[in-house]
Amino acid sequence: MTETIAVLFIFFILILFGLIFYAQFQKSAFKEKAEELLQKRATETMLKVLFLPELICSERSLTEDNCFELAKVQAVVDGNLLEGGRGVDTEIDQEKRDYYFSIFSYATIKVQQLSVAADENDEPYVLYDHPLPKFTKSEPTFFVVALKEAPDTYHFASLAVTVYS
Amino acid sequence: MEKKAQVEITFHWIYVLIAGAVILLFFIGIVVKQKATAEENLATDVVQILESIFTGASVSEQTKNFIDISSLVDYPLYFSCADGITEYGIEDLASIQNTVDTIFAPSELQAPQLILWSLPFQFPFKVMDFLLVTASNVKYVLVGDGVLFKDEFLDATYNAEERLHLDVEEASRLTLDTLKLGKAFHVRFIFLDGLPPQLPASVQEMDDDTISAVVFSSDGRAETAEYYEKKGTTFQKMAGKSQVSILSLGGERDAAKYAAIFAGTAEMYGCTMQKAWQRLGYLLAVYNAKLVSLQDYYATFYEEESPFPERDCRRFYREEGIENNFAALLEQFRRQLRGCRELALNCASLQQTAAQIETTNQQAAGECLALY
Repeated sequence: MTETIAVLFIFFILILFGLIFYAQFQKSAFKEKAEELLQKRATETMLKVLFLPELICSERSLTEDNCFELAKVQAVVDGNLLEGGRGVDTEIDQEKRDYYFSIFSYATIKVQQLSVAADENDEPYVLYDHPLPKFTKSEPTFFVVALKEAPDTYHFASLAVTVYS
Repeated sequence: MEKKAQVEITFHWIYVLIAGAVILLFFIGIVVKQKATAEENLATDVVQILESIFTGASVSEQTKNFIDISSLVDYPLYFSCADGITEYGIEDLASIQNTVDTIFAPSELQAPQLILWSLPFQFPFKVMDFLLVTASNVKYVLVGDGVLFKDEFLDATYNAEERLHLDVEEASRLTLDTLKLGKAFHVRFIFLDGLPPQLPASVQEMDDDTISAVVFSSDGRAETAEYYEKKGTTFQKMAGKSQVSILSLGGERDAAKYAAIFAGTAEMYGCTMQKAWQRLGYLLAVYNAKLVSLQDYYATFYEEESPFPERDCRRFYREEGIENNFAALLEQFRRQLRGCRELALNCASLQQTAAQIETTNQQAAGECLALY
């Protein structure tokens, strides 16, 4: 009888080891997958921002790649347009906020002018700032874009998109 | 004593068998569960990859992407849109919902190759890119004699490399009966000069689900698209909503019109267009703000009344400027858009205002700064 109990005990210990090993493996696989998803989301968000009609340069219906219009950028920042605006119609604001949240989710989008003439202390244009509360990981992505200032003056700018998980 | 030992040995073996069976069942359970999970994960991965592909494709303006999905050929993909939410995925396995992207697709696809075509929707400024989804085994038959759009669509869908062009065929009413349709998963007829009185003989034997038609007509001001499905030996209007208005400024690669060809139903077209109107509303806020910055720019540029009012750029941007100035037009557009979002029937008024904004923009661009 003691022998049987000993065999059972060892068997269950082995099962337990197996389960612990499997759980650890799943945990690291889950972590890896989460990281992969975060990187994928960072790339996708950057792609979406680069082609955002609210920001891109357009002239007579023709759009320019990797170019933001300064007037639009300022309009978006001043009106807080990607985060619901500063209007009085809270219902529309909420709808707008939800809309852009479903595009960018938890992210921060900033544009910093890089022109030589620009003052080094210039504040970046914060287009969207929605970090995940108590986030554990963030993934910043950078891209160089042209910032078009009417009439036909271009500056270099850095576009920074940070996503959170 | 001997008898007791015999019972003990038998019990021992039964005990071993039960324990063995339990252990075996435990592992079989794990394997079955893992298999189900793996299948579910695979379907979810596929849908997520599809979402990424759609995101990439929809932002790459004016591009066609041919995606090999031969490994999914046994799984039907479905697309639907209701209450402003597009849903797509693998039937019964995994799906994804999207409230932003404008995806126009047949209701069901099952093919070795997926075709994604992105076209910018300009109304009058760029609103967003429409993603037109179809497959290599969906055939489009354009019927309409002497209609310019036919040649334009054929040109837009043709590629010298056979594997990189959509399966589009032109036909006339005379050749409809002798069409060779091959083994298409679905055939969509595009009638540009009215619905023929009877179903073409070439499709009468085909399954009802595999044939549909969209009929374009115009009263000179607005264009409409009406959706039909095959019922026995006739074309019948699709159940529910069957007609939609095509609101666009015309021109080549007219995204709104092309989208009507690729949308499975009028319901899907109308529902997806509502997303475009929503985005247009948000963009209008940006252009309104840009208008204010242009007004400020010209206010400092001129400082006082110009001696040549006919050359004064401010006339395009101020309320007191030309009749169709941006300030008045954008306000009118905003009001009309609000009406359109409340009731789709109100959307028709948008077209004229969009055309007026386009005209003013062209005038402004000639001598001053354009709005877009």
